Amino acid sequence: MKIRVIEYADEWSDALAAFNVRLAAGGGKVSFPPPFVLDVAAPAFHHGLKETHYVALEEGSAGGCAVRGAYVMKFQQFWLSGDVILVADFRLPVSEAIVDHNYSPVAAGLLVNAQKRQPLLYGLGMGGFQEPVARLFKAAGWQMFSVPFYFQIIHPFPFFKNILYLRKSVVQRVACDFLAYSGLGWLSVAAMKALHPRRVPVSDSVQVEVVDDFGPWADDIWEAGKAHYGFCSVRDAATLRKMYPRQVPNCVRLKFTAQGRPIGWSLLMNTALSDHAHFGNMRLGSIVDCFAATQDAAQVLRQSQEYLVRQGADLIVSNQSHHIWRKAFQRCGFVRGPSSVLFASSRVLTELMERKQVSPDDVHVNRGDGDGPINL
Amino acid sequence: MQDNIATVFRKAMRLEESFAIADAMSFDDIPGWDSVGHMNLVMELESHFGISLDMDEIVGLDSVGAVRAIIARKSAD
Repeated sequence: MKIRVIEYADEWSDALAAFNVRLAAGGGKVSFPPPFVLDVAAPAFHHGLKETHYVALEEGSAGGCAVRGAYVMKFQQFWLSGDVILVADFRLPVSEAIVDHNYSPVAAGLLVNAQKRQPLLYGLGMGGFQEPVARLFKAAGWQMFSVPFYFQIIHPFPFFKNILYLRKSVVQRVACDFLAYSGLGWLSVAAMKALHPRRVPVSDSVQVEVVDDFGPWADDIWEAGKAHYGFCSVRDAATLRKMYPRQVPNCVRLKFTAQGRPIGWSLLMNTALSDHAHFGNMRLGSIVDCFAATQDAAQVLRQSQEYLVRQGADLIVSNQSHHIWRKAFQRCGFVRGPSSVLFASSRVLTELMERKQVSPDDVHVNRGDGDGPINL
Repeated sequence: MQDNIATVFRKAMRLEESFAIADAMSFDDIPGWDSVGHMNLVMELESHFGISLDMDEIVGLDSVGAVRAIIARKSAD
């Protein structure tokens, strides 16, 4: 097998389409998208970040080439305990081995190829430790940890009627309906709230403002807060505008000010879902991203939570890795649930983090990173 | 070297000591030789023989015999 990995170009569009057809025909549940065309009028999350698509090409006997695998690297500046470094998100690795095990070597080849191009790599998401990509990372010696998932039920009735994660079997559906209609669901949520009370009062000295975009004030917050974090993507105003273009609908930017000084921000979504795979038709509030100096984290979170409650969210969810934000979520009455979001760092990146004595607790990643807030 | 390669294969694919490894064996013949198993194999080979494999070599490891040939060539370099 002779395979070379090159940057995707339009001339490979037919070969890529044929690759996706083979995956689908073989029962594969994934496909590899060609690079998006930047739509200035309607940009999506992260469209301002540099991203490069790579394809693994096998020379055919007739002189043509077939795509046998592909991956994406999305480049972003990261703060690593005092330094700013370029790190790439290793995204969407897919190989023909999904449908033809004669191509089993391709996935390892793709990962090694990516590591040679950019040794500082990370992955986020993956769906759990048993998923193939997570197992591939583990085999390659990457460090991995789960990014905790937090939730808070605001309206028990729509929650129990729509939480498909808990309604997988007939028995579960009957139980959830019973909880919803009998009032026992309300009681159980009330008990949960008693066990996990909101210990952070809303502070009158912190002002909250809905803003259209991230302005220079976000730079002030970044400069004041970055030293409190061991590892996180640079969240200055310019980067935030690339991650969360103002034209993307259905996201809310909250700016927090105390004594006339900006102290933090959060990016929220409040979505009326329709047949969502996990949350059915709930109104889902998401604390997608947030940043502040660590002493202000709890107040930023508390008021973000309050905003989503006022906006009618049935359920509020978030994934957060940094220990200060995790503690803030607990103090604001959130409950930790099972997480399918993993953070993985390549061996070189892990070594760099260890040299800087950055532990997983010091890493600030959430649903704003990786693929961005998709499916929320 | 044959024994070393068999040892590496058994370790990478989590096989019993008694599992016989032969040069003609390929993906169909060795349990666990999938994408993750191949990554394990690459890591074990690099660690065991103190070598570094590039993309061409990694995708060329499609049988036990091919592994042996590449290791022999890398060891001779």
